[in-house]
Amino acid sequence: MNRSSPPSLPLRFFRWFCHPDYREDIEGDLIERYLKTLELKGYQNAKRQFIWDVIRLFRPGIIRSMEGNQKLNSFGMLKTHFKVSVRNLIHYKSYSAINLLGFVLGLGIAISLFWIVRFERSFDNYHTDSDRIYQIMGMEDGQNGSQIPSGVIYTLNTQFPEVETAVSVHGYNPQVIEVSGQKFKMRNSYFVHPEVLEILDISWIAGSPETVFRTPDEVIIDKPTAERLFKLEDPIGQTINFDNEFTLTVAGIIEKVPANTEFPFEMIIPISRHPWKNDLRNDHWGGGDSSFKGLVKIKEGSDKSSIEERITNIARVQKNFDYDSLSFVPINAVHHNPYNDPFNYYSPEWLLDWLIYIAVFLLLIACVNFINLSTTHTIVRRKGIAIRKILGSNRWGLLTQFIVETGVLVLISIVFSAILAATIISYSNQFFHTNIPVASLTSIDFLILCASLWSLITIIAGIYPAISITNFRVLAAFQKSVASGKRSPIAIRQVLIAFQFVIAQVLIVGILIGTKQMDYLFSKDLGINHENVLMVNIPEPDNTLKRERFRQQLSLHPAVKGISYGLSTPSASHSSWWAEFQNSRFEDRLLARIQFIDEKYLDFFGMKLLAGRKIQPTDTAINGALVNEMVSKAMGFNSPEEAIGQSVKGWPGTFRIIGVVANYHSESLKENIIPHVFAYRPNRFFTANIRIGTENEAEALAAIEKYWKDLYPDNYFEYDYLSDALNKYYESDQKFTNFLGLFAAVSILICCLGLYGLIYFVCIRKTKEIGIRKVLGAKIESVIATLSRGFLKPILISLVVCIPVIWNLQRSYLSNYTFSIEFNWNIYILAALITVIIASIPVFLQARHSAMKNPVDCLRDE
Amino acid sequence: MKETGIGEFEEVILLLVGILDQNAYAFRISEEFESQTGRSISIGAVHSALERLSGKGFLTSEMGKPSAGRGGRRKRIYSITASGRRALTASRDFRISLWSQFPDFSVDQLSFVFN
Repeated sequence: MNRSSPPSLPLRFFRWFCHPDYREDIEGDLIERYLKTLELKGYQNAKRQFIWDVIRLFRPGIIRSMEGNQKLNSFGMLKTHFKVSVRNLIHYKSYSAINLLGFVLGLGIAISLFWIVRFERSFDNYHTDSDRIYQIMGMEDGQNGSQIPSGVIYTLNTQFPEVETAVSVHGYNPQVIEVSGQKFKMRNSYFVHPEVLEILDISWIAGSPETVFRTPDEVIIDKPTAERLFKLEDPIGQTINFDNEFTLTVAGIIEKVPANTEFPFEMIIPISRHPWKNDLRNDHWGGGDSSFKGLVKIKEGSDKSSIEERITNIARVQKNFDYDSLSFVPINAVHHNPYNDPFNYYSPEWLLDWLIYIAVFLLLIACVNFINLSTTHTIVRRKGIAIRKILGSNRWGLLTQFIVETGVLVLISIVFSAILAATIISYSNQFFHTNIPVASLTSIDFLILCASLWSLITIIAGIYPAISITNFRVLAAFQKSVASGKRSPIAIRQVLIAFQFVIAQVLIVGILIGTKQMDYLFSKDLGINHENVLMVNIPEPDNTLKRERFRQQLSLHPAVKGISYGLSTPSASHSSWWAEFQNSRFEDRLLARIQFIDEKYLDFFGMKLLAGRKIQPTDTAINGALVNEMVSKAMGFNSPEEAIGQSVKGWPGTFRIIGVVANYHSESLKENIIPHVFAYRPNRFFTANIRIGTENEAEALAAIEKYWKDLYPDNYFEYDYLSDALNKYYESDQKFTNFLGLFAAVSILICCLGLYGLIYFVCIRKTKEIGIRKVLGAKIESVIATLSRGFLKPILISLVVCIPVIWNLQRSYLSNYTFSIEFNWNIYILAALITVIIASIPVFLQARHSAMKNPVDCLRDE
Repeated sequence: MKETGIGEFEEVILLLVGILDQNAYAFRISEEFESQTGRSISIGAVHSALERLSGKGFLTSEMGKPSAGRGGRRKRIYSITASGRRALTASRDFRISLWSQFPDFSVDQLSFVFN
């Protein structure tokens, strides 16, 4: 090692950070000092001194500026590019405004959509080990269901060592709860096996899974409920009276569960307290309520499919078991399962996929807009680019300038569109039935989304214009030529316009179809008379006396046109009861929906009796039941009379058929009509269906409430309109159509913005040409025609191109519905007309404006 | 100080530049400073002070000849400008006037050299 030169590493470090102007003499000083110290105090001291000196030299006056010097100054160039971009944006105001608007609209919606889909896909993924937690579903050839009998749960827990734990969860709301003499309504109350507290993640405020549910009379409530019931008092130890049947003591408080869960617990009660004792038996394998669900958590490393297979085999052997097989659905997929009777709500996968596609398409439209506009407009910048080239800029530098300019524009758009997205999301909770906590918008993930979109859009939108603009010969820029610009950009521009309009057109057709289908769904004859029907819950199902008294009182009221009792309405989307029935004539066991009805039910709902007689109270004892046509067809009978006298064996018993009812739609119009069995079981008459006259509706309502409250003072009065309940089937479809409307409007708006910008700039460039034409005698109409022709051609092309796209899409959309409208090409024609009219407006307006200009003004431009 | 626009450290550096004359480069100045005051000082501090004084217009600099003892690197020699001289004079006069007003340190004990 040559000791007479200083240590190389600190020296290299110094050379790196030192300002080049000072480098030489300071280095000299350093070396001089080093040599002197070396001589006087030896190598180690000299080395130490040198390093210390270098460190002390790392100070602001000496460190080189980041802008660099002549050879390498990328940072400096970026600064100038940024300044120039901002100046350009301000200088060319209309160009910037149009682009900005297009991006803000497109990005705003895209961001909200991505955010919504992210929320919907995040359901129940926050539980620890969520990859080992499943909800059990019963599979039955297209009629899968979420009801899982207790026998399954018991067997899983006792005979399957690979199962960590299996639990039942039943969403069962009381008619009324009472706290210190006050009555309240309670929703989201669940009867569960206590082990569920270990499967699903819950934040505890008071109590813990180990301390609660020592006795079956305990209850856990969430914080908002505690505040609602107990105001400021400490809820622990207080009592809640459930349905006037039993009393529970509050043993724990939990935080309100997050919005993205299919298990929105507000009140948790141990299942051993459940009033339906039959359903709790360990040997119960039969049917029941679709809200009586089962969850299972398997041990690590276990094979899910083998467990599924084995439990299915065990279950099928049991008598009364309804399903063909059991399947385990991952808990974070439950939210998207159409056969689950949701505790929260159902979010179909297809809807989420479509939202993503539409978001991407909107972004594409906005980018296409930008590409079109910038390739047209920045032709005015040719002189500036030429000068830069002459001064020595290489291609890369020019590209960077335009990309930076694009980046600045997109950055400003992102800021506004983030605000727009936040607004959309907070309003979407009202219009689109989503439920996103607005606080999530301030999270890091949102920033990451915006930042990635910014970079992505900048590159996608900026690359092509940057390349095409910087790709020309210098001299051409300084020659005044009328037709500046190559041939090919024009063709590409038209292709891009056509592409934009294809997307917009498809969306418009989509909204038209969607609206038509929605109308159809809401107005189709379901086979039952559901006009003006009020549904009221009936407590104390065992008390026939009170119920009949209620009926008598109401029948006397002039506004009440009819009243009938049943398990539920003929077409209820929640809590449907199912069971399997056997008959020698069935091909296989028949899964049928069970409906308990009173003697007035058929007439009330206008259900036609095809054969036999109507049901009567005496039918309970003799197990007489009505069936619908589907059942008699399943027996192979051509005429319904032949089915009379046959018996079907199932749950809750074996029935003899005494009559056949015409088919009606009991499920959403997405499903087929299903077999029904109607029996008379007064202790299951949970719902009163009341028809009221439209003239004195309020009066009728008041009377109903009064009579009800007089009879059932300890309960909570609730009612619903049947038509509202029916519409609930189509909630997600309605959501989708709502969304579609928004997207169609925005997409056509963006396309028109693009058109407007394009024609504006083309007109400016062609000012001289227009002037000359007019001087030579062209009429205004022909000038307008000349100007507009280039723009209307791609629109017409797009109308043709989108035909196959629309054909495919409408087929797949309408195939979701078993009962749907027929696709009529009138819809397409209507949409095409709309598009053409809306698109023509900016084109003609601007063309006319330019065509009307005085040739004197145009030709003076030298 | 406000009157002159330079602090005590800068004044010392300025004086040392005047003293060293042809040898007034950063390393020599720092060595001289250490030997005169007994305080050790880093090259960086000296260099920054010299740059500041140049920025204020009290010093100019020139690159000198390369020398073997510095690995062939040239030195930057500083010299005082006219306004630097004025600043120094102002500072000295101000001090003297204060000292002479202080009775215990009266004038007859000292001798000066006037230019």
